[in-house]
Amino acid sequence: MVFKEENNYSRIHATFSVGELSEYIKNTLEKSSHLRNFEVIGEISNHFQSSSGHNYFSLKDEKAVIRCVMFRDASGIEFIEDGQQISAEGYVSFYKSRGDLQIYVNKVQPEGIGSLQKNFELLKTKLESEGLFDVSRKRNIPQYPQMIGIVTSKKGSVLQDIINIIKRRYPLIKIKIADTKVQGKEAAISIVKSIKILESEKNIQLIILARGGGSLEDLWPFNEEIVAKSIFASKVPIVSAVGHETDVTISDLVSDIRAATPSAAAEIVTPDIKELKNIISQKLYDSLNNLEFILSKKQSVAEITLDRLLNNKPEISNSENIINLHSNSIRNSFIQILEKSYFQINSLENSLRTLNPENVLNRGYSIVSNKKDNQLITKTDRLKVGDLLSITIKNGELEAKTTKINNKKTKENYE
Amino acid sequence: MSEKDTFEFLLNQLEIIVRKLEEGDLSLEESKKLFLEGVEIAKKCKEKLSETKLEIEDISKELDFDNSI
Repeated sequence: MVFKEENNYSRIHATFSVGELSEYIKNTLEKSSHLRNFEVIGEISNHFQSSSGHNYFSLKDEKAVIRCVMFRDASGIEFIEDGQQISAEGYVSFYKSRGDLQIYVNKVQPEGIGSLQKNFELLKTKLESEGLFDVSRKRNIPQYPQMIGIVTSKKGSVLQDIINIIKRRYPLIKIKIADTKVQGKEAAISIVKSIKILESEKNIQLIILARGGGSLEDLWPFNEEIVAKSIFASKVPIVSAVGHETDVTISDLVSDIRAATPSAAAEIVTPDIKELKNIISQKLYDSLNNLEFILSKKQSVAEITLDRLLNNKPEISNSENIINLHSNSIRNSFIQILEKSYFQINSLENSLRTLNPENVLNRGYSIVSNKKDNQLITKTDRLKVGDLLSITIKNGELEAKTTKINNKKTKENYE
Repeated sequence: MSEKDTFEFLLNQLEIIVRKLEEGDLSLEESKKLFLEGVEIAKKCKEKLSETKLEIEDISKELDFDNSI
C-alpha cells in the first residue's frame, strides 16, 4: 500500500490492493466512535435465518437500505420479521470477503417506546376478562410430591439451580425435564409443546415453568397468548418462575402458583428434609410420653386395687397365711410386669436417643413452638402477629412475640 | 412404587399412632405394640429421607420427534 504526499499535482492519494482497501475501510469504520455503538430505526426486509440460527436482513427507510446481521444469541430475535418497524442497537463494520458494509445488531426492540408494555396490558385485560387469572381456579400442589416436570432450557444455570435445591431439600422426587426454548421467536411454541408433553406424562403432579432474568423482550414468550392458554388448560398445577422477583409475566398470572424466582419455585414445591426429620423425632417423643403416661395410670389403678384386696382380706385366721402368701405373689408378679415394661421403655428410650432433637439443638438450631397450644411452628400459616412463641435452645427456653410474618410464598396459593 | 411405600403415607401412619396414644384409652399391651410400630415407621421415614436419591429423566428426545403441537 502506498500513500502519497497530499499535493495539488496528483489526483491519486493512495494505491491499494483490494484486500488492503477492504482492510482500510474496515479499520476506518471501526475507528469512528459514532459507528461503534448506535441505534438505528427502520423497517425490516429480506429477512433470512441461516441453519446455524443467525439472522440476516436489511433495514430500510424511504431513502436508503443497509444490510444487517444479527447473531443467534442477540436479544430480541423474535421481533425480526419482514415489514416490522424496529430500533436496532449495534455497530457498523465491513465484511471483507463479500464486500458488504453491514450493521452487526446486538439488540432489537419493536419501534415505539412502550409498545411491548402496551401489548402486555392489552393481553392482560383480555385474559383477565376471560377468567384466566381467577383465584378460584388456582390449584394446590401436593405437600409431598413424587414426580414433577420442569419446563426450561437445559442451557444456563436455572435448571441446575432448581435441581440442586430439590436435591438438598427433598430428594424423594423424580424429575422429568423437557428441554425448552425460552427466548426468541420459537420459544412460545416450544413452551406450549413442553407443557403438553409433560402434563400427559403419567404420575406427574406439577410442572415448574422456569426462566432466568432478562429484559422485557427476553421474557416476551411468557407474555404470549398461546402460552397463557396452555398453562390454563394444563391438567396439572403449574408453578411459574420467570425472571427476577420484579418481573411479572402473563404466565405468572395464569399459573396456579407464582414463584418469585426459579430457586423460590424449587423451595415452594418441596418440603424441607431437616424439618421433616425434626417432626418425626417430635412425634416419637410425643408417643413415648403418652406411653409413659398410660403406664403410670395403669400402675396407680393396679396399686389401688391391690391395696383394696389386701385391706379387705377375710378375718379367718387359718386362711390368713394362705391369703398373705397369695397376695405377696400377686404383688411380686405385678411388680415384675411393671419392671419389665419399664425396662422395655428404657431400652426404647435409648434407641431413640439417636433421634433426639437435642442433638439438633446442640448444633445451634432451635425449636419454635406456639405458646398457646404448644404446637411446633413449621409454617407461617397458623401464626398471627402478636402470637407468643416459646423457643427452645441448647440450654434453656425463651419466650418471644411475633412482630412480623414474612411469607416466602404467595399466601392464597399455597398451604 | 405402591402408595404404601411413599413418605407421605408413612408420615400419616405415624400421625395416626401418635393420636391414638394421645387418646390414652388403650391397654398397656396395645399401647406398647402401637409405640413399637411407631418407632418402626419413624425409622422407615428417616431411611427414606436419608437414602433416596433424586431421579432425573430428560424427556426432551420425545420433543424432537414431535414437531406438531
